[in-house]
Formats: sequence, structure tokens, C-alpha cells
Amino acid sequence: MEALTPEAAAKVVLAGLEGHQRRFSIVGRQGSGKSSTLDAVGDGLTERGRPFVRLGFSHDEDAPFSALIDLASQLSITSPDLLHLVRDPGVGWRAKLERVTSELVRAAPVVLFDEPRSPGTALGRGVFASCAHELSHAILSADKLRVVAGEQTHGGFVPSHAVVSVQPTSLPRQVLERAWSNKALEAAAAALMEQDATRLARYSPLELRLAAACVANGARARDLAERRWSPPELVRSAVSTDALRGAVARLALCRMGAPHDLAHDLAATPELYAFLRDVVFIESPAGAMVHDVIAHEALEGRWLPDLSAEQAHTTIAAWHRRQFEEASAANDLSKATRHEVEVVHHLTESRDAAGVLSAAVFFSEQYDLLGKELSLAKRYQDAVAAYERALAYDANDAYAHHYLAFNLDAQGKQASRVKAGYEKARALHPQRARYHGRYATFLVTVGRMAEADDAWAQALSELGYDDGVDPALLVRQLHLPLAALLLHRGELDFAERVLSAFPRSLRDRPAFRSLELRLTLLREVESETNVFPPALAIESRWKNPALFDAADPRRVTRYRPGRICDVSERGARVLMGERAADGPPSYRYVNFTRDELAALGAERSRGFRLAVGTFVEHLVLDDGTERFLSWQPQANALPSLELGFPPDRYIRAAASALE
Amino acid sequence: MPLPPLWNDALTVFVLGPGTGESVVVHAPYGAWMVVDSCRSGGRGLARRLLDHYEARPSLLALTHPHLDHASGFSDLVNAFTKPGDSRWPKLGIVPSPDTKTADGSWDLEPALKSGQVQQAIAAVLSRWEDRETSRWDMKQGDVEALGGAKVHVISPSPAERAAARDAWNRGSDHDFNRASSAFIVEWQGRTVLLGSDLVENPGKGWSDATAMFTQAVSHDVYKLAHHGSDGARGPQLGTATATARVWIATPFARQDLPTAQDLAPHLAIEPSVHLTGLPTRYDDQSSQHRTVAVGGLGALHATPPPGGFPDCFVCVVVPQAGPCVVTCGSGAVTVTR
Repeated sequence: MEALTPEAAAKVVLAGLEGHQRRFSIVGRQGSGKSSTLDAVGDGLTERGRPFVRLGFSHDEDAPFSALIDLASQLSITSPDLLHLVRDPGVGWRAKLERVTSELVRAAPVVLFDEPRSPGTALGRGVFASCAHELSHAILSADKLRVVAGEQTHGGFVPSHAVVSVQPTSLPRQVLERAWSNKALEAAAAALMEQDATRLARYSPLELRLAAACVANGARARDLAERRWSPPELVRSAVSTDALRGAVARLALCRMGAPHDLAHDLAATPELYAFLRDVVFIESPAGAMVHDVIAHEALEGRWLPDLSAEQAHTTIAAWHRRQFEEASAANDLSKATRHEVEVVHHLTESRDAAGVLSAAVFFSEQYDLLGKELSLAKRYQDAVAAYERALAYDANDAYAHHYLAFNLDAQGKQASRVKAGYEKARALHPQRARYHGRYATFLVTVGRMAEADDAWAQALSELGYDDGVDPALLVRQLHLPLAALLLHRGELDFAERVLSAFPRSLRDRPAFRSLELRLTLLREVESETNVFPPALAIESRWKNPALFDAADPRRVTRYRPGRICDVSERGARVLMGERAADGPPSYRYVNFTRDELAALGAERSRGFRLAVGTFVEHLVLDDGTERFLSWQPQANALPSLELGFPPDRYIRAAASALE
Repeated sequence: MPLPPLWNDALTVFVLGPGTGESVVVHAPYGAWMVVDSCRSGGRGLARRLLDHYEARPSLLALTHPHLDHASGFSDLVNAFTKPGDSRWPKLGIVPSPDTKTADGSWDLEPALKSGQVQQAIAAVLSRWEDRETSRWDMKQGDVEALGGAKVHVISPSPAERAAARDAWNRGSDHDFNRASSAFIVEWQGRTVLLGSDLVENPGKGWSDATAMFTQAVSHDVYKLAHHGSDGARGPQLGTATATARVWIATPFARQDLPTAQDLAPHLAIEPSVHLTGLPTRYDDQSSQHRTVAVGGLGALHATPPPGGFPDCFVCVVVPQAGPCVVTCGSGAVTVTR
């Protein structure tokens, strides 16, 4: 299939839409011109007087909600009540989706759909990714609709003859001959124009501007012409300083474009703004946009520290609030609504709990997203308030039930509410391993072992290994945290049962092996047979003394490994093991006086240093001499357990409340 | 030696100690049971097994202090007797300050096992307190709880020691949590049982404080010696011989070789004998036949053939309304004389 330019692809699509063809897929990699194609199709439809709506998802977690609002706004011209319905947080997602979809089918505009989401794709991960999948599916499966979708790979929703491949192209001279804001960029552009124009034409206009910045930063123009640099390569090389990265990242946070005044504020300095305008911005009717390719790099590369991101979100939220107020004053509900969505999004990202709780929120899930942000910032009590608000609108919001419990659990308080929240979430979504795992570990944390046992049994019955649950995810969210806590709490029988339920295919993983070793060692402690340290492999025990110099020609005639249990002014008490040939080992406590230890060479010249826990070996050699060897205590330490929140948090919270 | 049949009209004290750890179970007329602390041998809780034997359920469960050798299996007891639908929950007593010892990063593996068990015990009790306020027993000095026809007095720790333990725990600083041990007096029909837990005299003057406030502690009939009979635990007020015979019992603590002959000698200067529930050695090395030995021979006492299993390391004392106490020693027990 020959790849077309965006303009040519748009013509093909428009011609098809004139006929009976209802579906087109515009396929191309990121930055290849899919959006430009959809723009051109939109322009063509406008010229022909054909109605259309434009739909796409942001990279943020509220993407499905803002997309649905967007769609309802565009449809509100023909369905004025629709927007009121979508604005009502008391109406659930499914009901809204159904209503908007049916209005869409009734109005039957052409749908220009940027990157529909489906469960198998990498796009749209996050808490509410499934809502984006549902929205995409609802539109793509509506047979009466004409849909033109831009996709990175053909998603299979149209037959192959309706797939149009696009690739970027440009007229380099048109792009590069412009009034650059500084001499370096101007010289770089000139250097690029000296290269083979047909090779440079493989870049999109935006990529050419980035290429100029790369050359200004020291890249060779010839390299850029000879090898087509990938979009991420171009971005990383073009946006090279922290100041530039910060400015780009701040602008990338604006999902609706940044008009001149806001863009200036976010760029921070006139020089940075000039660079962004020359190299990064895409002009749109709404203002300057940062292309997805660049925004993605900024996000993934964490170009903004958290605090700076919060400040930028605050600035953007304030700007959208002004736009909302102006739109409200002008009775433009559609525009006002869109800005309100942005206000809530940016307040959420800036972790302004009070701001969001006092704002107009159209989806109860938006409170969930606020709760998530606050929880990540360890503002657990604020997060609880957010989830309470979500539940006030939707009492069956499993996510909110779970995370309300989780954020109380983090604080070690209101155990009965924690329990109820985890239980409700688990009942609503019994297939979520995390819900089972957190519930069971909570029950152990508060010492409710019989209930923890029941929870574990229920988890196993709900989450069979054959039920399509990823085993690695399952053990990470259920088995490992539960087993670690049980081992910490000395509940060895229960821990053993959890570890024995570990899938065999995953038992060679370090996390499992570490817990398994810990269980073995603690069993030994329980039966007073633990003499060997964790650092000594179990299969190496008893074979040879671990601390005796292998080069020593003398033969060991008696070998007693031990662990120091007590040290006092009288001497040391050591739990010692000994094994007769072919027999099982036996263990007993042995007292060594200080004089005896000194005679054996165990006492160092600067005083008694043997400490409780130290691994020792008492040897008798074939020349009659005895040795008493000890390891550095640190070598005896157990690796730390990954326990999440401090396991004694409920005790601490209760103790401070009691006194 | 099997567990003896119960006397209905007597106070009965079972002291269990399999080498490391101790638990005391008290039966008071008529059918009232109290468990103080918990220990295990062979992976099973001894108090629970004893209660199962007598088909009993406790009305009081107490963890005297947050130490490893007193808390092992305590949460099992709590879980066993506080089922959600059950109306007969015992009162649950703790002083909610776990020890500052933690498992992670420790190179002594014993805390890695047992500090978590202490947490588990305290967490289990606190969650039941939240469920049912009636199950709460703060065990403040001076508190009195009914145990059938008997009364249980909490004689320690003092408020100051309690606060000091809590502060040390909050700060994560080193502290001797034995100072904050809860000791009890059980009184019935003029007879007195003194349960010394691990309360120490030095440091903290715990016994001087307790016996000054509760003078009846001195004139007891049965005394479970404090802190495995160690020298630092003995209060001076308990150091006076009385005309009537008293029964003194100690539990061993194998890891620290407690009590030694030197530890017991001062006790034996007051009372003619001290019953040990077992030897200060591994459970597998306990005796299978009760023996009486002079204190000088204690150190040389070696294990006899393997023990037959529960009940083995225990001493049972029946305290009738009048007359001498009746002592039954388990097969693992050792009576040490002057």
C-alpha cells in the first residue's frame, strides 16, 4: 500500500465519503500526519456543508470523560439537552455514554476519530482506560455512522481496502525560509537547505523545524539529511537545555492549546517563548499546541519536577477559569463546560483538593482521579475526602471504595471502615487481585487471622490461574505482599500456605526465593535449630566449615557451627549444631566462659566483641588445636522485607489515641 | 504426667514453660479461666492446648509486656476466643507499647520471628477493642477484675513506667520493657497468688512500688517468680520467709540460661524449694521425668530420654480454701532444693 501525503489521503477519504463508504482508517506512525489528514478531511467536509464531529483522547487519566464532554458539546447544537445530562455527576458513565452515542447516531455526522482506544493497545493505560475503550467501541461499532479514524496501526475495524497510509512530507524551503528568532537557528536552517531537498522532504514541517534546532545545537545537517532521524531523536536533540525542557513541558500540559498570553506565561522568558514559537508550537485556532510526539517525550522524560508541574497546572487552571467565566457570562454553555473540565483536570494535577471539591465536577470518577493524585502525594486524609465525594455520587464505585479504604489503611485508623471498604470493592470487582491482596494483608495487619484465612481462600477461588489473570501480576499483588507480612508477623504456617500456592513457573524469581529462605530460617528459629546465617546457601551447609581457611593443610576432626544467643560478663551462650557422620544434626546450647573464649582466640585484643546473632564455628583440628571462628555480624542479616506501609501503624495510631 | 483433674472449690494455677517462653493459666471457682501470656512448643500454643483439655474458655486474657517469650501464640488465643458471632468474648488486657526491637536489618534472627508476633498479638487485641468496647482491659495499676469468685488485681506497672515505655517506643529508643510488665495478684477466699510476669526491681524499683501499694503481695501462697527467677527481678519485700509454706515457681529462658544455680540460690535462702517448669535448654532436650535436685547439681543436670510431648513442662498448684497447696509437676519440670 503506497503511503500518501496528508492532503492526498484526505482527498481519497473525501471521495469515499461521497459514495457509500462508511469507514476509513488513516494509518501512520506517530508524527506521520494522521491528524493533519483528519484536519484536511474536516476542511473538505466543511466546504461541502457536511456535518462532522472531531474526537480524540488526551494522554491524561480523565481522557474518556473530557472526550465525552467534547463530543456532547459538538452535538449540543442539535441536542441542547445532551450537555445538561453529561454535566450531571449523578448520572453514571454508562448512561451518559449510551445517550451520547444514540444522539450521535441520530444526528449522524461524520466522526473524525484520532486514535480510538482498544484494550490491546499501549495507549490509554490508567484507572479509567476501560471507559476510553467503551467509548471507542460504541462509536466504531455503530454501523450507521461514518467514521474516519487515525491509527498508528490498523486496528481492523475497517476492511483493508479502506485503509489509507500516510507519511509526512513537506516542502523544505517553505518551512525553513522564515524569520527565525535567532541567528543560530537561521544558520542551521540555511545549512539544512544546502542538503538534498528530496531527502529533507521526508520530514514533516514540524520535524524540519526540530531538525533546524538540532543543527543549531551542533548536529550535522548532512547527518539529518542522510538518515531520517526518528521523532524522539529529533525532540531530544532539539530541546536540549533544562530551561527549554521546562518550558516545553509546561506548554505540553495545555490540552486545548495556549493562546499568546498563557503561552508567554508558561514559557517564562521571551527568549524561550521565541524558541518555542520557532521550533515547537503548532498553531491552531485555539492557540499554540505542543505536538503529541513532543508532549510524550516531556512526560516520559519527566522534564518537569513535581513541584514545578503543580505550579504550571495552577497557572493553567486559573486561565481556564477565566475562560469559563467569560463563556458563562456569554451564555456559551458548551465552551464554558469544556473549560470547566480543564479547570478540574488542572486543579487535580496541581493536587488542589479544596479547589476540586468546590468546583463543578461532571463525572464522579473525577473525584477518584483527585484521590489518586492526593494519595500519590501521601495526602491520605485529603484523598479520603475525595473518595467520599465520589461515593456520594456512585455508591457502587469499586475503585473509590477500595482507595478510600486504602488511604485510611495507610494512616492506620478507622479499621472498621477500612474493612468495609475493601470488602465492598472486592464484592463489586472480585477479579481484581489487588483488591484481594490489600484486603487480606489488612486483616493480617490488624490481627484478624481467621478472616484473613477466609479472604485468602476466597482470593484463590476467585482468581484461578486459568482465568486469564496474569500470574506475575497476581503474585505481585496477592501472594508476595501477603507472604511478606505473614513472615514479618511470625505467622509461619499461613505464610507457608501462601508460598506453596505460588505458581511453579515463577518460583525461580528472587522475590519468591528470598521469602522461601526466610521461611526456612524462621522455622529453624522456632525449633531452636538456626545456627547457619542467611548468606550461607542451604545446600552448602555441613559440607565444609565456611570460615576455615581452605588452604590450611590440617584436617577438621570436629565441626560445630553455632549462633551466639547471649553475651554477658560471664561469657557467651551459643546454640551449636553438630552432625555425626550420616546422622541428622543435633543442637544444644553451650556456654563458653570468657576465659575459654580467650583461649580459643575468639576474644579480640581490644575486648569482647562477639555479639548476639553472630555465626561462629568451633573446630577441632587433627593436630589437637581448636579454633573458634566468627563472621562479621552484618553477614548474618536477613534481607529486608517489602512491607509497604509500616505494619505497626494501627498500633501506633491506637496508642496515641489511648494515652 | 497428665494434667490433674480440676478441683471445683479451689484456685488452680498452671505455669507452663517449655524452655523458652511462659504462660500462666488460672482457674477460679466456678469455671472461670484467665490466661496470662502465651508460649509455644512444637509449633503449638500451650495455653490453648490446656484450655482445650479442660474444654474451657477464658474470661480474661492478658499479655503482660511486649516481649518475645511471652507473646508467642497470643494472637492465636485472641483469634480463637473472639469469633465474630460469639457473645462470650474474654476481656483482653495489654499495655500497648511493643518493644523497640525490630526484625529488619537485625542480625539476630530471633527478633525477626518474634517481634512480629508481639505486633500481631497487640494488633489483634486492639482490633477487638475497637469491635467491642466491653472486651477492653487497659490493665492500669489498681484495676480489679472479677474472675469467677476470685479477684484479679493489677499491681504494675506504675503510671510513670507505663508512660516511660510508651515514650521509649514512640522515640524508638532503647528501653527495658520488663519495667513495664504487668504483675497480678489473684485473691480468692483469703488465698493469694502472685504472678510476677517479668517485672524487675532493677532498674525501675518495680517491685518496691508494687508491694508498697499492694501489701498482700508479700503474704502470698503461690508466687510465679518474676523474670525467670533472675537476680535483678527480686524485690526486697519478697525476701522474707514466712511461717506457712509457699509455692514458688519459675519458668526457664534458655537463650540466656535463666535461671542458673546462682540465680536460684537467693530464692532458696527464703523458700526451701523452687519448682522449674523445665530446664533452661531446648524443648527437645527437656526431661521426660520430673526430678528433684539440689541447687548445686542444677548445672550438671542433663536431659533424660526425649519428652513425650504436651503436657510436660508445667507446674500445677491447687490452692484450696484452707490447708496446704497441692503441687503437680509435669514430666519436664524440675524441683530445685537447697
